[in-house]
Amino acid sequence: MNNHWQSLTSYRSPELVQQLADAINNACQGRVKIMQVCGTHTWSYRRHGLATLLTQNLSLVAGPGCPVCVTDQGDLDWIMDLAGEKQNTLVTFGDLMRVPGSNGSLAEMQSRGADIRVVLSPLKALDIALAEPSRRVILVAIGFETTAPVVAATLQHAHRLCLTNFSIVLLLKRLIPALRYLFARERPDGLLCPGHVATVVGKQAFACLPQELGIPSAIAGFEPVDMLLGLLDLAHQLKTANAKITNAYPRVVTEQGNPIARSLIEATFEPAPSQWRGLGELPTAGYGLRGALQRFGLNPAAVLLSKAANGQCLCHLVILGKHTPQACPRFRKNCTPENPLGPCMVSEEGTCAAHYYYPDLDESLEIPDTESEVTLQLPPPVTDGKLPNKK
Amino acid sequence: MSIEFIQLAHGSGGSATTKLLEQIFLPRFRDIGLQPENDAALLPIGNGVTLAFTIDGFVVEPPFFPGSDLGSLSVNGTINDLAVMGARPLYLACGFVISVGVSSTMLSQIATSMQEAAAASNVQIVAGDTKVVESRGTTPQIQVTTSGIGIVEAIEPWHTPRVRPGDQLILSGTIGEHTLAVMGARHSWFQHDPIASDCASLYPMLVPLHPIPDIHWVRDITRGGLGGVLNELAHATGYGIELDEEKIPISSLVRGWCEILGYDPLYLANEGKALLAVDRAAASHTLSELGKTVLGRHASLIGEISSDEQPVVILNTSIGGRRLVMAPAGELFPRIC
Amino acid sequence: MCLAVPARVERIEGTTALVTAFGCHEKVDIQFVPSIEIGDFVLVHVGFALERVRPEEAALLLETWDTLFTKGEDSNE
Repeated sequence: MNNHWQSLTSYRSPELVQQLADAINNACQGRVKIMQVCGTHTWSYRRHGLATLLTQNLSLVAGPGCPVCVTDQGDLDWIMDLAGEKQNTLVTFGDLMRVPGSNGSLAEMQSRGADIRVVLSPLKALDIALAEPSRRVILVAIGFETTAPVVAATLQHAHRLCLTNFSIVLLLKRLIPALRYLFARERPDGLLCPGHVATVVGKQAFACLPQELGIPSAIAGFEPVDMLLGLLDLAHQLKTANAKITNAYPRVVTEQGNPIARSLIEATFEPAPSQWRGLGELPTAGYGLRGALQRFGLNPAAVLLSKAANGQCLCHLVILGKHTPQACPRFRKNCTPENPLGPCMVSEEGTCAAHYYYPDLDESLEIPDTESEVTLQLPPPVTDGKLPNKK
Repeated sequence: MSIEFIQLAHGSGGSATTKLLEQIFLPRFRDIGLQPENDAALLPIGNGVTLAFTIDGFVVEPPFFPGSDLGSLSVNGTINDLAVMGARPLYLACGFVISVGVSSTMLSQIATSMQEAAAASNVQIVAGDTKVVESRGTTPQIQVTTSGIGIVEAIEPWHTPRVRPGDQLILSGTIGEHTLAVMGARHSWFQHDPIASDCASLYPMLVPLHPIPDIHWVRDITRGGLGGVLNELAHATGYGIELDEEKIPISSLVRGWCEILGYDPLYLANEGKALLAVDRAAASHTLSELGKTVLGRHASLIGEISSDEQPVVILNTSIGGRRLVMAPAGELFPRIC
Repeated sequence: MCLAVPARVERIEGTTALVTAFGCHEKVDIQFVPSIEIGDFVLVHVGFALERVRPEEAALLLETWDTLFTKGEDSNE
């Protein structure tokens, strides 16, 4: 693989893409279901039209890997409530702006006068807190292990600055415990591991998946060639019936990840229970604040029950890879990026939004022009009924 | 679903905007003359003379951004709506809705820009109106509406009924600058490497095309971006469209910002770019005429109208894949994920 | 998840560095990659350099980007 890698002249070279696609297609003789757990993988795959180059034997399903998608509706409503309070300045990544809540989206609240700032870096929240001491500045932290060290650094810096008008809504999630939980119940044939989570936690952090659960796993980057190299790795593992963890993104991912980032995560957070949409409360799949940093943490006043009409969307099944977006009766009909009913339709890398913007070539786009609400046929229970049922 | 209340999405230029027009305005105005498919209405007044007439409203936050401002935007936007109908823009009228608290300096600057943009295009601003309203608590705003009238000079009409399978699609230049200029100014992004809005009058670029009979259709690519205009064209004609991603001109800075912010350049707005559908036989002549102009120097043949009767836009991606290009939906926000 | 882009380090000032990614300059925090030097490549996520990118690979990537980007255009309008 390494020689092959070095011979690359381009991560978007059509010739190389075709070569890799041919190799994957040759190796995939039977039907295989590969799961990827990264919104940018979904996005890149669909945006570049990779599906049209690969055999129909291979289906790439999206698992719980878009932070907006996996955020619990109760947490989303909580954020909206905070944004609605006059003394608060809510600082968020753009991803959350269009998420539907009981009171409209953050974008709509912003247009009605709520103080919501979209930032490209969480450190900006500290600048705002320093510059505007009369405001209560609240950082909404979503994301996975990739974003965790950055949020940790922000918190440590807030601590050093002795900020008193800064708080955090800590919704960061730990992907690997959630995957172990999910795969112990239902498993794909292989897993395309998210390259930027692996950048932080290292290749070895994913080794438990092949070792304990026998799932072939390959770490992949996000260019078309990166993704195809990962898929080729998986195709080889499946062919030789040898489940292991491989690294198809060696230019940034190392065996142990980034030691400084990992120890900062360790010093700032401890594993804590977390609510995941579709999975319920998972005991160690979130982060809690350690020691003195706890003063920055906001806790919902009470256990918030979702106010949004949750029965309206199948996001909780989509993020488990159990339903394609197209299988949801509301997809493209009542639920669109302009008027999303669930979080998967929100950010462009959300599973449903990526399928909306970048549909399959043969997908029917005919939308019945109906005045009436689509009747929702609820699918059978999530799995064998063992998943915690939160609501 | 019928619209209950107006939401931000109804102004985004995507399918919600279409829905708004279809539910509220088209049923009422179509019978009394509305020409919703054109950027400007074409009004024959006898003796072979046809007027082009249009109106457009402009709000932008912030009102000043690299390369342009609300003033020149409001003049050039209306000039362009006339110019893409093959008309020579002549007269503008303008209306201002100004909220309490707007500074006179700001208003003067905007008026000066309008004056300069009009003079540059040899267009006169002949009528105007002002209204002052309460500020809604957010930043004081200025909203400018301009209406324009011009005389059609193109020897054949540039409109949808003339578009046929096999027509070549020509894009007049690089896409995406305007949205990124405004967003960059709004959020202070990448201030070392600002992107300037492409706001400009399209008229000088289009004049040399007036005598070419095989130009079938021209549209300026504003809100909703190239993806939006292509989908509108597919729906209006009933034909499919095939595009080559490789051929779509995008500046390296725009590509760079898009990679970092997670935007798709196909949905970014422009204020000085046109898309043309021309007969295959006239494609190279049209390209060379465009290439001689300042604004059209990056013009590129990006695809064609296919004989496929499914009105969808298919993109051949630069890595050799194929995918559909959907109409834009919703506002743009940067993403981290 | 986790949009991150490769960037080249242009200048280092304490725990921050000025980097260029796809022609855009950006100030990033470099506390996770303290040993980087000018000319190195880093992977940037939400304002932080998360990891060093192996030079030969990054050069290759940027070269690729350059050829992709400079095709069919000469400058920003």
